[in-house]
Amino acid sequence: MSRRYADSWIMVSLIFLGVLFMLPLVVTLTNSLMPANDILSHYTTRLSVFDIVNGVKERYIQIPLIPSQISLSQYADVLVNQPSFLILLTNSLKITVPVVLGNVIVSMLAAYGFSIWKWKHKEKIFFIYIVVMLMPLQAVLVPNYIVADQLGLTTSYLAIILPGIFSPFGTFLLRQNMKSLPKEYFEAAQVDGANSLYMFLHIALPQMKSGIAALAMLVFIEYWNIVEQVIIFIKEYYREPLSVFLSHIPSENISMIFAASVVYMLLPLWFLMLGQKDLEKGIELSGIK
Amino acid sequence: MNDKKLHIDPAALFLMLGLIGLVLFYIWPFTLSLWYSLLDKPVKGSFVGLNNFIELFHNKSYLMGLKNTLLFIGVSVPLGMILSLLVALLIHRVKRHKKLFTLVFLIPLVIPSGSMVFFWKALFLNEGYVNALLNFIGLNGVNWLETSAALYIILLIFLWKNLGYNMVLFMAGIHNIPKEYYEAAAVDGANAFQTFFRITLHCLTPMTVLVVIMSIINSFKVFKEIYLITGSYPHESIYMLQHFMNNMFYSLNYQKLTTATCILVLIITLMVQFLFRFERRAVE
Amino acid sequence: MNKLISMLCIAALLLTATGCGRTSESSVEQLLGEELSGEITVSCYDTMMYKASLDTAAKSFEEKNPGTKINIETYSPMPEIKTSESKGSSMAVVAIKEDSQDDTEYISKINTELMSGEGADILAMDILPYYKYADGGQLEDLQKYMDADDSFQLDEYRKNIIEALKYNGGQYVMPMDYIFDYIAYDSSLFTEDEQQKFVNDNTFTYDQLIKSAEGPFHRANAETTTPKRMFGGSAFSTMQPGMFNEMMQLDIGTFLDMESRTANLTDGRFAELLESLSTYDQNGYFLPSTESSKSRELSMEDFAKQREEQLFYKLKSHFSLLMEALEKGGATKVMVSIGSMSNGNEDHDKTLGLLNNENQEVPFTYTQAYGINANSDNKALAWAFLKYLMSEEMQTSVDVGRFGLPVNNAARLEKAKMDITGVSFQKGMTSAAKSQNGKKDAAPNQDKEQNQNVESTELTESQQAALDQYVKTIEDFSDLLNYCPIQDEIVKRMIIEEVAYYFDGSKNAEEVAENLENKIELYLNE
Repeated sequence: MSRRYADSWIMVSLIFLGVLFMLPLVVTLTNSLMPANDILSHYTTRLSVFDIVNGVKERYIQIPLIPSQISLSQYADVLVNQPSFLILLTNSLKITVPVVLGNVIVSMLAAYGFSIWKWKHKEKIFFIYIVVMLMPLQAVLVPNYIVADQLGLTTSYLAIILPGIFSPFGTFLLRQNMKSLPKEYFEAAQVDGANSLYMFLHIALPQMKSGIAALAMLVFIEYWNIVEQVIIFIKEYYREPLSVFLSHIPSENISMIFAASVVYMLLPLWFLMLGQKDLEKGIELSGIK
Repeated sequence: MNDKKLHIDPAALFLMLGLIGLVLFYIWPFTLSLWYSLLDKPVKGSFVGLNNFIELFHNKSYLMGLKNTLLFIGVSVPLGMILSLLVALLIHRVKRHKKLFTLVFLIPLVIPSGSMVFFWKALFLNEGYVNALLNFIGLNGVNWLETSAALYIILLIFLWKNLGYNMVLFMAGIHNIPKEYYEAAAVDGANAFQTFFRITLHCLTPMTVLVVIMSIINSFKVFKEIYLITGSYPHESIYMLQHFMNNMFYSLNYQKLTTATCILVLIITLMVQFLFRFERRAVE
Repeated sequence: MNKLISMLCIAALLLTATGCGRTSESSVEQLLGEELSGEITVSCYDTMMYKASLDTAAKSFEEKNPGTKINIETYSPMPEIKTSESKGSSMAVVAIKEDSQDDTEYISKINTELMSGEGADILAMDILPYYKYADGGQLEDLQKYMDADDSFQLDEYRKNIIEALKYNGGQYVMPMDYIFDYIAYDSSLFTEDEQQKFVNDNTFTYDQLIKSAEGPFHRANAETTTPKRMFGGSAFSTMQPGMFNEMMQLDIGTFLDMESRTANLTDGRFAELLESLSTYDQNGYFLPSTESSKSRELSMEDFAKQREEQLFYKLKSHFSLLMEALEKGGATKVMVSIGSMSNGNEDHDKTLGLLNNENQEVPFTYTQAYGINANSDNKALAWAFLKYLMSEEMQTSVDVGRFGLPVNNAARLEKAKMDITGVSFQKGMTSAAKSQNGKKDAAPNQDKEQNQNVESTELTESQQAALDQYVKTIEDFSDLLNYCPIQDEIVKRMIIEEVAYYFDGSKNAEEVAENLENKIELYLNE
């Protein structure tokens, strides 16, 4: 009896928390279907002539959950009438895709290297990886800038991409993942005379699928969401990725902001739907001791 | 021992690419910034020893940023851990829709900060929705982003965004606790609290180090939201070390920037070392 | 780990040893003795104020000193000049694109260059926060040059203007000219007795002005239905900060101390300023804020309407004094007064004096000022060019400094004379026409005045009288100027953003003051 009582309490509190967590997403989705006028009237705080006539002194932002009218015009605006939006979307891809590919490859190799390396000081090297990984971006930006300056890349996407590829987080995550692989696999293969490249391709890689998927997803999100590096390195507005653009969208365009936000988060959301299991498993395995 | 040689070489080969990149893009420039931090100016500078460090520790803005950052880590990391453990326990207990609930808490993790900025602003601006609600029930609004209440807003955003990651880690940890432990406890007549503290929490301790590390990383990342919502100079209660460094970057003050970086490297190194020591003790 | 750290320390020490053997800098005397040669670059942002004048100056300097080359670098695009026409008269509207993005880009570009030890030899100090560069040792202290160079005599220039730009005891920037606003009052709104009270003084605080006008204000507004305001600005609006900005700028030195990097806003005076502004606003002393928040581009009708409004006080640019003198000298009225708050009916305007604050600081500003990069390779040439820009020849040239008053004393007198006879306008017009590539209708001030062809520099009697009066007023006023507030765009923006919370009622004055003080100190101390 009390057991069931507790269960329903758990359910209720979880649903409550879940609704709270989903609220920003839901609001963004529903408001993206609102026609421009509705958004303007709900989200501007400037008093209109009518307000003054009616004696309204202060106006607050209203966030409606359900639009009174549904229209797709905002999406049309964003995707068809605003070529700049698509340009910025491509900019985001131009930065993100190379970083994800590069970082996954480099991390796979390095993580495997770490797990088969038999040098007794390898944990000390790994320690350095962890310290660098913990650095906030701002601290890493200085070194990034110094290198970019020496390579003459201070205004290029490469100044963002190259450090991204070698960022130590991937190596850390995959190495933790690899610890879960039973040693016996490798030992058996070695007895059969397999070399380390063979073991990498045929044992480690297939076993690490979840980890790799999780890493790719996390890196993708990280660089899809890039802000700091851009404000330092990219000066021209047409070369900015979407992440920065959305935060300083001009006030006359706020009607399209929700639609733009939805388009912008579709890709990461889709990845999450596809790979929820892998992401969970990848994160779980990183906690292995 | 012919065998050993065969193993070292390929391992080094695999590591090579990553290590070279790490040295080139992180370690070498870090060393360079250590060097810069000892000069009086980056060009034709002369050696000034620890002068820059002393000066930095007299810089009010830096101290403010450092204090706020440490305070934020000190509050957000434990709070985030407690809440995510709580949610993980709840989801663990629930019988249906486990996957759906996990998804719900993971979604904020993947939503780009840029998409949410406008929503947060609409909520917490002075004329924002929250104040409208407060006004409606007859309370006075708070200028959330321009008073010391800003810290709570940032904390809220941090929790919303990062709860999922730690939750997944804790769920795995809870899942891996052998059932026999609980059965034994039940036999001994332990109550729910005792079971939780003696078994669940105890078994999760080794994992906490990783959770702390990830939480610290994520607590640094919340700067993105702060910056996008409030700009370069927010209310002083949320002026973080990252603001200081970011602004120094704009004025390209290499000395302060590199000095601040060096101090940060030192702090983080000590922190990681402490965590590992803690972990070793916990395992024993 | 410890081994690694100690190794890094050793490496650092080794590097130090190699970094020490530098040659000592040559002294200023030696520099000044050098023969001028080589190449320097002058960098500036505001194209309208600098580009044309610098180009001309550079060309003639190169001719006089063979073997030298002066490069001019500019950043901002030329402003657009639009002309709107109505009933035969035309009005030129200069549309200056105000883009804070451009500002920050320019500043960050200069920062990058200066920090890497490069950058132009001479920097125009228009929007650059020069106090930061001075503190960072990136600007040369020009005092050394002024002392050592016998051909530079401070007495030949307006000493009070040059010295007002000193920062932390050093002369890091050198002004070429100066501009200031003066107060005019509408004599038809005051009685004779009330006006008599003004005569004894030539500097006024806002408090004094408002107190003297309170009586007349109530009298005048009791009679008519159209309200007569004290000032032609609104209390505050984010686009044009109006009276708040004027009063804040006047007192900025007491609120912000750039030299010690402190903000002093919480001792109650700032809150008092805000509160008194609200009170004045409620009393109807200022324009209501809705009326002044119109777009910047006025139509002819708006303009005419504004011209009829009677105001107790106006803030006019010193340039308006010249306009008055021209009128007295017999010329037809060319254009209306300019100044930060000069709109309104001018028929009964009388010159009153200058604004000052409680510390007896009388503010002015400049249109052109330069500093020399401390890392410059050719400081001798940079100084020589700077001196050349300050010479009588350059300062009277119409292409150089068309708007401000020259710092060079002889040049200022000469220019006053040229202005009164109309020579400088004529020359200015021809050069403007040239630079516009013959696009005749695009030039401003297309008026009958220009067709009168004033060729002789002989003064008529009335012109002579007007000139004497003009020069006397200008010199008297100039003697009073002693304070040039340091401009910092970021601080300005912070103030406007935060003070907006006061005027929209979401924060009280104390909260604003405290928050602002924290923010500004945060920024200044970074």
